[in-house]
Amino acid sequence: MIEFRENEHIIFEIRKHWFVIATKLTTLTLLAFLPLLIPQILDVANINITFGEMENFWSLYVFLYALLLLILWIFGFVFWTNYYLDVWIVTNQKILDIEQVGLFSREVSILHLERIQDITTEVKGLVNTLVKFGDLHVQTAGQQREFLINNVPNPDKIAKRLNEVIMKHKSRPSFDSRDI
Amino acid sequence: MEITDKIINIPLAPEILWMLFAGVLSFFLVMTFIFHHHWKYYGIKGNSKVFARALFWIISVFLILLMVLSILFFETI
Repeated sequence: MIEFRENEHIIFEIRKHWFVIATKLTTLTLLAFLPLLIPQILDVANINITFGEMENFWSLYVFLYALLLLILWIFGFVFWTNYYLDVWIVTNQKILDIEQVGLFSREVSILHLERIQDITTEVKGLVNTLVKFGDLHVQTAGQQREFLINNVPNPDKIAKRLNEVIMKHKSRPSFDSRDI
Repeated sequence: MEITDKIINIPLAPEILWMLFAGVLSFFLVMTFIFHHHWKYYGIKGNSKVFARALFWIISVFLILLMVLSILFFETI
């Protein structure tokens, strides 16, 4: 569990746009419906399937379909868990950049608000423009390191809000929110 | 055009289905452990955690029961 200092509190969290997970879950849903076509195909082709002495096609069909659904269900939760745990947590002191890539790869970076120098947003492509999501880059002082979160919803609004937080809590402001 | 029925016979014993079921159940148990570990230690909290956990278990148990019943039905026919 993530722990914060005594005088530290979460202001907001940034996650990827719902469109990102929706595309993955839609693919799984389509895969889930695909086996429903098998009895129709067998019927049209006049094919009867028997299993040894037992001519029980439907009980086996239900078994295999439930098995497939369970596997897809588990993969759906893998996608959701990755989506949910891949987050930026903005507090009154820092930004926690938690990058979850798969279930077994996790990287946590801390950006102190006073070290942030520049925020850039980027929206590329037709879908991104229509659905309103894009990338958010945060440049920090010192090591010239850049932090990036992909596919965030309304990157301009988030950048503006982030900038307001920085201006409010940073001791020496280095840029103005009107710059965005 | 003459339409003839094609009969495909696949000799399949219920034991094979039980083995398949055991394999998927093992996979499910491992993944459940991983999910609960991640949800507990990596910051999913409050309503999202309760809802995700409840939804995951309800649907999974339903599908597992459906698999068991279909194998039992397959055996008895």
